[in-house]
Amino acid sequence: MQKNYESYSAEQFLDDAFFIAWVKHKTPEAEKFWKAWAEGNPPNLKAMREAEAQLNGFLSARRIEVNEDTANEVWEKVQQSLSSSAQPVAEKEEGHRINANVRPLYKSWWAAAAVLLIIATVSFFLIRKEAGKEAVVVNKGKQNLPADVAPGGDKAVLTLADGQKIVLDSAANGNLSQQGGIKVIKLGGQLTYNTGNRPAQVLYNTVTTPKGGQFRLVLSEGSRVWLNAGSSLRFPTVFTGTERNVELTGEGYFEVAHNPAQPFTVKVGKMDVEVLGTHFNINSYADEPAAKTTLLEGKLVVKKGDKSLYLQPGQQAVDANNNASEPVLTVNREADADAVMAWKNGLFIFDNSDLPKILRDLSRWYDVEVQTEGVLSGKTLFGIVSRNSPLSTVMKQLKSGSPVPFTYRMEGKKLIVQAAAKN
Amino acid sequence: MQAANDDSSLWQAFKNGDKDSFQAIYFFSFKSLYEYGMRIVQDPELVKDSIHDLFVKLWERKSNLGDVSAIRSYLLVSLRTTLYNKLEKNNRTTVTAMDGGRPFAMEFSAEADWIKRETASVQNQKLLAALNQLTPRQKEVIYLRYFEELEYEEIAAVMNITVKATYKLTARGIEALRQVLRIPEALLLLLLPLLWTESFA
Repeated sequence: MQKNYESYSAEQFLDDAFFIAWVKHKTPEAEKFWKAWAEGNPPNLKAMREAEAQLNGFLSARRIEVNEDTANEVWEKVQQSLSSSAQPVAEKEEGHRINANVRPLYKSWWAAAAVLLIIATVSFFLIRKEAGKEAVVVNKGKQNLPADVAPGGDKAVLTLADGQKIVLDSAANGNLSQQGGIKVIKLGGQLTYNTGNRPAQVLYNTVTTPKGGQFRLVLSEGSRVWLNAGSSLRFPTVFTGTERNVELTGEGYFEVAHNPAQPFTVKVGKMDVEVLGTHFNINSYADEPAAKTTLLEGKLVVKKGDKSLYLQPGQQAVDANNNASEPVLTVNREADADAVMAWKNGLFIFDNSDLPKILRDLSRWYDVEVQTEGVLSGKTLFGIVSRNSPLSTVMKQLKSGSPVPFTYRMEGKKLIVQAAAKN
Repeated sequence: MQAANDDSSLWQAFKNGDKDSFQAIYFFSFKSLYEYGMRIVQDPELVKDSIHDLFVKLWERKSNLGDVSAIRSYLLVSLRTTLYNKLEKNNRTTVTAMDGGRPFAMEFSAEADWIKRETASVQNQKLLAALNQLTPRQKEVIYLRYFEELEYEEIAAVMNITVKATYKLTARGIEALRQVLRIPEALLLLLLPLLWTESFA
């Protein structure tokens, strides 16, 4: 099975056993392979060199040498202790037992009863990806989900101005299309728009992610957009005129190229988010009660109807009336900007979320329908989980850390979560 | 790294009382254990004592031990525990799971061959500076991943990484880390709790 090294990021190289083995041991076969690969002019050669340099950096740590004599010396003592004694050494250490099995890989524990925030467990069960194939890592304990649900991935559909649709996940890397002077290039989970030298025609494209999908865009003026699952962005292939306007549904994280002469506006339903050069996240799913715009850096104003709200970095504007035209705009000063955009870094960070909200997020990323029974809200949770985990892992973690007890099962593509009496 | 199969049968033989297997396990693991121990406590006598105690205990309780498929990481956990127990006894201090500021001896050196081969670029110096600024626990994670080549779950088990709710995550810390270092996502997860106790400015 061929690994698609050409699409690897630096991080992925640093996670690849063959790559690591090459840098560490430099065997002739490995040298040959990587030399040939580099000479093939792969698009991510820079990333590979970055990974190589960094790994060499790690490996530059001074080793602590130990000679054979030391090993022999201690072994002699071990022999002596064993032959001379019927008693175990250091009885005081009875209390600590050498655990026969490797310790449970994660623990969760409860905070004081009255506290709403509950301790999170970090998800350690990670999928090691071999190109296209996902191997589920050892999961000790019973699987509640008979057929596990794989996490989402880079999936999206590009709709061109003439209505033609291109499925991005299965498209080959490279030049995807040429429209009115603009080159569209796909690489892994990212789509880049490149203007040429000639004046270009303004055409509108839309990128749509399904449930279980995500995708990255680089617009023609350099702005970057991360689209979460179940979202879409409609945008012109080139920005002319005095404004840059795009339309978003669902959730997107933006890093807008700074251009005071051309303010950037994201239209989200009846709400407009106007920015200069900034980093911000907009969450506006139809099934969420409120639309939340969170500013990380720069300046931003949210406008809806005749109301506008200016944000400082770290603040979040909440439109509690997401689906109606009458805005209820407030500033949420307690929002954790970093938690809000963690999804773009491959993590779910649930910051003071209740179980129903967490389940909605999981439903979008894992593309499952969630059915709840009983009362699951009331207490909130704090947690961090890798978006690369299979659903069974996340549910297990959630169940052990949740202040609201529940049980769950899968029925086909449906996840059924039931409030339970405390177990 | 030995295949899981080899480890299992070696371990079984040892459990059944085969002295040769026991000796094989000892000599196969000693170098790793010693180096790891020295990075944690920087005290050769303490490390040697701990390794001694560890193997004596192993032999005495062999019939009670479960099955182990990855001997090296299992022994690293055990050594770590033994070391910390000894430290506690000696210093009468409680060592918490996140063990405060215990240093992890790991120095990234500009004298390595690879630096000489390339021109001492600003990039390399920046990288080394960043590496040397890593916290002890972060260095330990990198050591176990790239030197011991442990799997992520093994690392988590060895280091007993758990997370507390009161931490305020600074994803800015992650971004800052990412600007100087490329971190595989899986590794990032392990480094995350550690970013919370010590901020990476």
